[in-house]
Amino acid sequence: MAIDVRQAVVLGCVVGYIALLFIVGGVGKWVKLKEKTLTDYFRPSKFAPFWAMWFAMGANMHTAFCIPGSMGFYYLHGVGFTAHFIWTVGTALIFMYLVGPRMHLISAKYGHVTLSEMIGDFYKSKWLAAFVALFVSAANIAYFTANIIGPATLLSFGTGGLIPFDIAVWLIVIIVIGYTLPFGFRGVFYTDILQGAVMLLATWGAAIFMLSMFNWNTWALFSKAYEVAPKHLTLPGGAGWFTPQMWFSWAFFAITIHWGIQPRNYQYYQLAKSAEDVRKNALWIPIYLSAIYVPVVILGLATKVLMPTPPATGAWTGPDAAFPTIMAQYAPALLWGVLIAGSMAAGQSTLDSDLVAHSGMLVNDVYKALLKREASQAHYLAVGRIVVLILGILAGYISIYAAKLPIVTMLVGMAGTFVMTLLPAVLGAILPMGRFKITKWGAFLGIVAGAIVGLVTTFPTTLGLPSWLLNPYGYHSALWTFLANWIVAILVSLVTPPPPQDSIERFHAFLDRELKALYPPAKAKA
Amino acid sequence: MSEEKPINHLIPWTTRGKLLAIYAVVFEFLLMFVAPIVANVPHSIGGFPGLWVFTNIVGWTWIILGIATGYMKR
Repeated sequence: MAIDVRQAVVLGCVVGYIALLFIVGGVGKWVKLKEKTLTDYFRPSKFAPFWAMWFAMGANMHTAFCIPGSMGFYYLHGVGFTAHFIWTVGTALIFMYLVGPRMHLISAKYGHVTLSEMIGDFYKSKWLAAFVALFVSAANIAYFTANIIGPATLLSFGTGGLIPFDIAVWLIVIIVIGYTLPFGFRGVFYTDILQGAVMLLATWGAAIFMLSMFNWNTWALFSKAYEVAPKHLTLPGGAGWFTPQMWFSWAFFAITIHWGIQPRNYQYYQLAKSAEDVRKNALWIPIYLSAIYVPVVILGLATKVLMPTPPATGAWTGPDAAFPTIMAQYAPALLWGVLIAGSMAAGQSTLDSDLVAHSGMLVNDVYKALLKREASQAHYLAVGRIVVLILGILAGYISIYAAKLPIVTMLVGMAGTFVMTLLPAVLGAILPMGRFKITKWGAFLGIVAGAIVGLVTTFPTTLGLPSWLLNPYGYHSALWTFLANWIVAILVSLVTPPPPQDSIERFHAFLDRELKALYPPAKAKA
Repeated sequence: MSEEKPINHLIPWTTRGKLLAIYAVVFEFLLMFVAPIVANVPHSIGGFPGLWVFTNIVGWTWIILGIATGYMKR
C-alpha cells in the first residue's frame, strides 16, 4: 500500500509519541521498583514533585472524552458544555481538597495499598473490601474500553485506514501494558506527565489553527455559529438535552463526585511528597482541568460552521466524526498528527492508571486477603502483573468484539455513577460526622441501593420497566442514584452497630490530631 | 477518644477552611443554578454567548480565589 506524505507525517507523530513514552516511562532508574513488593508496584509513595503532579494527575483524570469526545459533544450540543466548570473546578476544590490529604495521611500511617483496603480496614470487614474491589472493577472494566475505542477510531481514521481499527486497539493496549507491566504505578506517573503535556499541546494547537481559519476573529466565529445553529449558543442546546434539570443533575451528580474518589486518584494521592502537596495540588489542578476545555469551544463551534451536518458516508460517520473530518481535510499534517497522538495520550493516561489501580484492588483485597493469605511478596507481585495483563487484554477484546453488547453499553454508561455510590463508605471512613457514623452495613447496602436505582433510572426499558423511569422528571439518573445511596446508607447506619471504637481512634482521632497539627484552628493559634 | 466528645468537624475549621467552604457553596450554586438562567441571553456579551462568558468568569474567579485563599497562613 502506497503511503502519501500526509499519512507519513501522521505516522511519524504517532511513532515519535510512542518512542517518547517509552523513553520517559520505561528507561532510567526512576521508574524501577525500589522494592519488589505489592506496595511499591501498586502504590509507590512520596516521590512526585509538585509541578509534575499537576500534569500527570490532570492527564490521568481527563479521559478520551477530552480528545476527541468533547469536540463531538460541543458539535452536537453547543455551549452547554461549559457545564464542565461544575466538575473541572468543583471536583478539585470540593472533593479532592477534602479527601485527598486525608487519604494520603491514612495510607502513609497504615500502609493501605488500595482504596478498597482503606475502606475494609475502617469498617473492619475484608468482605466489604473485596466487594468494593470487585464491584468497582466490574463497573469500570467496560469503561476502560471508552479510553481505547475513541483513540483507536481516530488513529485508524487519521492514517487513512493504514492502521486498521483492530490493530489500533491492540497497539494502544500493548503500549500501555508495555510500561505498566514492568514498572507499575511509577511507569504510570512518568508517562502521564508527558501525556498531559501532549494533550494540552494538541487541544490548544488545534484551536489556534481553527481560529486562523476565521482570521483570528472569535467574534466572527460566534456570529457565524449563531447564524448556522442558533440553538448551539444557549440552552437546552442543539439536541435539546441541556434542560436546567439535566444541566445541574448531570454535571454534578454524574461526574463531579466519582471523579474525585476514583480508585486511580487514591493511588495518585499517595505519590505526593506530603499531605500539604496533595492539598496544594487540589488548588492548582482546576487550571489544567478547565484550561484543556477552553479551546474546545472553538473546535466544536468552528466545526459546526464548516460542516453543519455531520458526515453521513465514509469511514467515520455521525457527530463525533465531524471534527476529525474537518481536521483531516484542512489541518497541517503535523498538527493532525499531534492531535491523533494527543487523543492516544488522553485515553492511555487514564487506561494505564485504571489498569494498575484495579489490578491492585483485585490482587490485594480479593486474592491476597481472601484466597491465598500466606505467600511471598514475589508471588503477589507476579500475580499482580498477570492481572494487569489480563485486564488489559480483556479491555482490548471487549473494545473489538463486545463493545456493542447490551451489558457493556450499560456498564460504560453507568461506570461513574456506580463509583459515586462509594461516597458514603469513603466519607464515613475519613470524615468525622459527630455522633453519627456510617456503618459497614450502611456503606454496603447504600452501594447496593444506589446501583439498583442507577440501573432502573438509566435502562428501564431494557429491564422491562416503564419508560418514564428513564431520568425521572428530567433529572439525570445519577441524582436518583445519589439520593437512594445516601438515604439507605444513613437509615441503615442508624439501626446497625457503629464501626469499632478502634477504627474511630485509628482513623478519625488520628486525622483530627494530624490535621490540627498541620493547620491549627485560628483560635488555638491565637 | 470518648463518645461524649465526638469529633464533629468536616474540614479543619480554620479561617482559610471557612472561606474555601463558602466559595464552594457560592460558586457551585452560581454554576449549577444561575448559569442556566443566564443561558437565555445567548449572544450578548462582546459577541460571545452569555452562558459561555458567565461560566468562564465564575469558574476562573473561583479558581483564583481558591488558590489565593489556599495560600493564606491559616
